[in-house]
Amino acid sequence: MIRGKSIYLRPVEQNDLPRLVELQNDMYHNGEFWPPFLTTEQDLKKRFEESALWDKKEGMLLICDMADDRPVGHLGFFPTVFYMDHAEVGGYIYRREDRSRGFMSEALRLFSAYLFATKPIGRLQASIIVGNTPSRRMAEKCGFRHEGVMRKVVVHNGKRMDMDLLSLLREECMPLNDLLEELRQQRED
Amino acid sequence: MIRGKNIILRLTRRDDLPEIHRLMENLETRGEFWPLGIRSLSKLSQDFDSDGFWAQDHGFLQITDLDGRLIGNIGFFQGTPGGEWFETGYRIYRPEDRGKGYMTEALRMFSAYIFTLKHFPRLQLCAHPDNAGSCRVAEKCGFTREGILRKSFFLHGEWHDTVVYSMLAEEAAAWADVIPDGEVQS
Repeated sequence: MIRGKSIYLRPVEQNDLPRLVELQNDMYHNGEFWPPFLTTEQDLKKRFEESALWDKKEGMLLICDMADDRPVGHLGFFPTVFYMDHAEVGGYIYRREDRSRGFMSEALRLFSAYLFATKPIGRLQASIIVGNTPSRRMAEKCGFRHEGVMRKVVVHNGKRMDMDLLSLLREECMPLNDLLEELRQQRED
Repeated sequence: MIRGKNIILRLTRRDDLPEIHRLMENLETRGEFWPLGIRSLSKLSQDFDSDGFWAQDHGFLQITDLDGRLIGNIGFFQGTPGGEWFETGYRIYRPEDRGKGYMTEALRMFSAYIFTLKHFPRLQLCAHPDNAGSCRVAEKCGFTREGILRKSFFLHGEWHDTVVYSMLAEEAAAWADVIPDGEVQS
């Protein structure tokens, strides 16, 4: 478990799976920018059996509300093109009422610091559909910097969309232990 | 085979392999920007036997001059796993063949060809920011610079930035304008 101030990150457990399928398939809550994927329980189970959704090159952690231990979202990391030794991060807060509460920015800071602490990578990358201002602002608040716009790189809602590309370098990220200590103090205040 | 004005693009042949291997695996002629990976001739041959270096979602063609001398190669692959678009990459084997316009012609032909062959929105191209030759080729062929991926590429013991370019399908040259006499031979 990676403890922050109001959330903590933890790996997915077997008994989370039915709940995750339900949460991730609710299009009303997916919002305007999260891809409208449908996740089957079979597929999720298969992936869980292979790696418990946490592997060397790819994985996800649940973001849980410290007040009631409820999973409110997730953050994942995954490789991009074969010749680059970095990782892309992505994730979302499942339900509308849990957004804009600062959960994701706390989670992203912890997740980034944890990845840099455990993996020999120089950068983390995030791609955000152009127009998703809250997400971009949140990433920038976490220290990610804008690098460019990739034109027509994704299909969303039936249209080819541009994406903003952002990244956080290892030296721009607070070391994990410092961040854990900072958030522990805030939690206890 | 696709015949241009000064070059030919064609599939790799089995009897090219020893020469291509010698040219590709020589670190001294690789230049300062190409990745330093090495591969045995046996592995290269296995890879060739599996798909002839030309498959649905990746592949590369040999570039020769009109006399058939091997000059380099140019190819395409998925720029991100599962992405519905492609990235292109290219190299000239020998230092003495660089800076002669071969790759500008090859990239112009190849990008027009790949957009003719497949329905996809963008062809991406990545280069080292200091690789002026490669950046010039991209720009001359109509690629647009989109941004810079900081410290994204590990080479010669250090992290390097990468410049990202792309060409959209609607920006590609018309196939007929690229092939001087419209000649496409198998």
